[in-house]
Amino acid sequence: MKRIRGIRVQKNVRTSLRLELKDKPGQLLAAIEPISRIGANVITISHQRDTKSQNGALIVDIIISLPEARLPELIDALRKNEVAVVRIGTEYLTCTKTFILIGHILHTDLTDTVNRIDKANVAEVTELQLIMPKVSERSTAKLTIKAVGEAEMGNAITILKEVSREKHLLIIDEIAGDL
Amino acid sequence: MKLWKIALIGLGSVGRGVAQVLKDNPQFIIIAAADSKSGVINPSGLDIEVLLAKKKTTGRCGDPKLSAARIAAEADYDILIEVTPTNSVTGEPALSTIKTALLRSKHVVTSNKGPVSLASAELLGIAEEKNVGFLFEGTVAGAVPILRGIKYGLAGNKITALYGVLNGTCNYILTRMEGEGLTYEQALAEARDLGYAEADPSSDINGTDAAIKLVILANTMLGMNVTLADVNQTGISGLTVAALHMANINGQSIRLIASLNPEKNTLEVSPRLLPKDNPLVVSGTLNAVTVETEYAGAITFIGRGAGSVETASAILADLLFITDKYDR
Ligand SMILES: NC(=O)c1ccc[n+]([C@@H]2O[C@H](COP(=O)([O-])OP(=O)(O)OC[C@H]3O[C@@H](n4cnc5c(N)ncnc54)[C@H](OP(=O)(O)O)[C@@H]3O)[C@@H](O)[C@H]2O)c1
Repeated sequence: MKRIRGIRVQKNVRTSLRLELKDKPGQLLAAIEPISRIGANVITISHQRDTKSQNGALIVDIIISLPEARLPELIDALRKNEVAVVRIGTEYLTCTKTFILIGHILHTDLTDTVNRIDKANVAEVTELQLIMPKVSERSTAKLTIKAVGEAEMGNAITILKEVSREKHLLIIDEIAGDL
Repeated sequence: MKLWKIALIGLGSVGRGVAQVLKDNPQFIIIAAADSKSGVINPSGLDIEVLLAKKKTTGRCGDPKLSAARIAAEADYDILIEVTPTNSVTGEPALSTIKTALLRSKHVVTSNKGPVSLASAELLGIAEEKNVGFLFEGTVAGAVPILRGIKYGLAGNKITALYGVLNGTCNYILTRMEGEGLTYEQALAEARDLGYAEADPSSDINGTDAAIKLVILANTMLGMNVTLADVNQTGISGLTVAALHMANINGQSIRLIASLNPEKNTLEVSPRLLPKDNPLVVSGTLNAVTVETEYAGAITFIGRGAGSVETASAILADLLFITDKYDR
């Protein structure tokens, strides 16, 4: 972050987005319009008419440059236009935190736990390691979550804590701040 | 030099440490003492060697008809030292003993967490009204001068957050699980054998002991108004060796951390991940507290959180604070 005469100016970051568009006219515009409105620069768009997702939507990969803090706003605007953001390039998820979960993790559907965090789209589980002594015993998992920013990380943690409570998992998180 | 007359209530580990520390200090004489079954008064001063020897051989320090309550209400002391077991539910009988003394305009020093965590505002209020000292440095982190460190050492600094390792038993268990790969059960058994854990260690293990200390810090040092029920509490009994192992590979340790944030009004005791080089990652039974402050940045206090003469050290500091500030 640079400071110009006391005003905090956020530097632009590059972000790659994978979008899913409904296969009907005007959809590409629905995707481009919020991007330019928010002041992001489009660096590349790749849009292959013949690659479709399982549910028949068109896939568009796009790399943009915008102030980092505005990414959640852009994603909201895209969603309002019925454009789904299905992936955000992890290299732009700048906030990383590690968690340890203890409990009957497999029995309680690990995929569901991970999906619920990934669903928010601005945070994702990038690493998962599991130690399971015996099927009947509690297992231990290490989980790394990356998020677009502190606020998004906060939301991911809230989801993780909710899931842990529901599934009776003991969650150990990193101490906050930079002590 | 003024001679200060002490009534010592409780002759267990801490009480005996206090007696030892005061034995060679010409400023103080112990004129009364009590344990759970008896009491003794001698206005010209008890012989500490004789007192401790009698307690050791007979299990009693004095006359079964003389109770702690009577000593608090009737004996002619300047300062009452209350070092009986912590009752975190009612604070009794210590709470009544302390009140009796304060209402008689006597100074009180204690290491008993029960009355302080339950009724600090009321007790400090009486002390102020009667113009006497009510001090309890030993209730939090034993020998570590954390209360005075915050109140005087960091005076004027706003505290934005506090993190502490406040239970030596848990810290010992985690250190052994991490270092030797012991299971939780093995490490607990070892802590018991070494006398670090009580016969019933549940209030250490489930985080209650640390939570009580956190409540004392919150209410008496950070201007909060909370109770034990406000602390979000998770103990260490669910931890696996694998968890400590995974943390280790990542350059991290797991410690039972008591934390509070005065602005968000949140209090928590739970196992947390910390970088190994964080000063809070102390070994064995040590305690540590990091205070994040407005001007001074982060400051960490580390030292022995329990022990007979260690806790007596905190009590001695409280006594000297009183003799310094008050002339009676
Ligand atoms: N030990 C530590 O390292 C440490 C550190 C910080 C704070 N503390 C706190 O300091 C306090 C004392 O700890 P401790 O380890 O010394 O405990 P302890 O070894 O169990 O000793 C307690 C003493 O209090 C006496 N007592 C019990 N009920 C009594 C009553 N109703 N009236 C008068 N005396 C009574 C006991 O009498 P009997 O001898 O007849 O049993 C015993 O002498 C506790 O509140 C503890 O939480 C302890």
